[in-house]
Amino acid sequence: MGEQELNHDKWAGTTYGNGWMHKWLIRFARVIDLRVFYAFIYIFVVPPTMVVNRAARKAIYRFYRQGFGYSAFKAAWMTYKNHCAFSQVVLDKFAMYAGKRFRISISGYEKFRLLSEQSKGFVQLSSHTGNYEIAGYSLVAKNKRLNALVFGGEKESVMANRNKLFEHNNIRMIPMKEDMSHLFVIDQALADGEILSIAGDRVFGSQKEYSIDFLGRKGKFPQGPFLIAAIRSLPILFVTVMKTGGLSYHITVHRIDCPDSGNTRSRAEAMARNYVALLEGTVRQYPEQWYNFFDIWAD
Amino acid sequence: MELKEIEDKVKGFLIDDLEVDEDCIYPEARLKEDVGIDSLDFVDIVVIVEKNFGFKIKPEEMAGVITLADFYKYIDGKVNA
Repeated sequence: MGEQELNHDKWAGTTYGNGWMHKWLIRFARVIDLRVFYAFIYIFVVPPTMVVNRAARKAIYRFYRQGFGYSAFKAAWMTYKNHCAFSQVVLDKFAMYAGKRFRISISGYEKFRLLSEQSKGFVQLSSHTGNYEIAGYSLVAKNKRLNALVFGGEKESVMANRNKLFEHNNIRMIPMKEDMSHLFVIDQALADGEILSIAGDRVFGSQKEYSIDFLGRKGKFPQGPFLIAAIRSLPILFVTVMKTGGLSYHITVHRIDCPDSGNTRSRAEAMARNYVALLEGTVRQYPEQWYNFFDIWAD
Repeated sequence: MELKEIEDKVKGFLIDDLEVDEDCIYPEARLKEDVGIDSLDFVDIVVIVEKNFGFKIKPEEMAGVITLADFYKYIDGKVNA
């Protein structure tokens, strides 16, 4: 698999907090070394956050205990490391806004290029690992619009900010609606040969889910992203963006083809199983970069 | 196209593609409550109908379509218009 080095000097990602906080974070990131920022967060922000955010802490602790079979002490330590890694990802986003440069390498860029040059649409799946938003800048299709499904309940100011940030990258935000009308918008986008970006490891909206082996136990995964691809017999690209060092990330593009035989449901499930196997491989390689702060194995 | 042919085609894709239980397929069956069609299934139906009957369902036209019989009539109206 070939690797391609990509450099960039700007990047837009998910926005957190309010505008005032963003401005100050960006100002600090311009003048303070990121490592100092990280150390401050590890000591003064992560511990109280773990105390307050009990549900997330428990979900991550259980993830390491049951998924990896770690001892209680090691699972607790990994839970702390996981929170630290997540705070790094958030800080990195603002550091990029502030103009800091990160080294980004890619495996499998050809898979993205090939599909983005075809007339058919495709589904680009993310996961709650690493720092997926970087893909929004590094994987840009010149002639295809990327449609990103986002929570409709997001604050208007945040949505406006996102749209402003992404408008020059041919990215459209599609908010999820309670009446599920967004499904027709995204299906039409795929019918028009565009890209749909959606997370494949979190059940939301539709209650339809698969129960698939993940780290030795049955995990819950949404049917929607896979059905949407299977309905139109479209391929899926699974993209991971993992932090590999202080200022470096590695993007990996995996291709999951829609099987030729079977009905929509069986083809969708086959793709989902393929996705989960790839996700498990990624998580085993980067166990501290799992940011799905809910119990994926809950009954 | 005869109404019977439309019914057979719809029944066929409900069973084969959407994996609906054959017992749930009768004219009075309500699409949501009895047949178990949800939004994702409906997107699938839109694409299947387009392939099988040559027209695209507009979601807003489905407002009055409650039962399978309504759905057969809706397709009949489109195909044989």
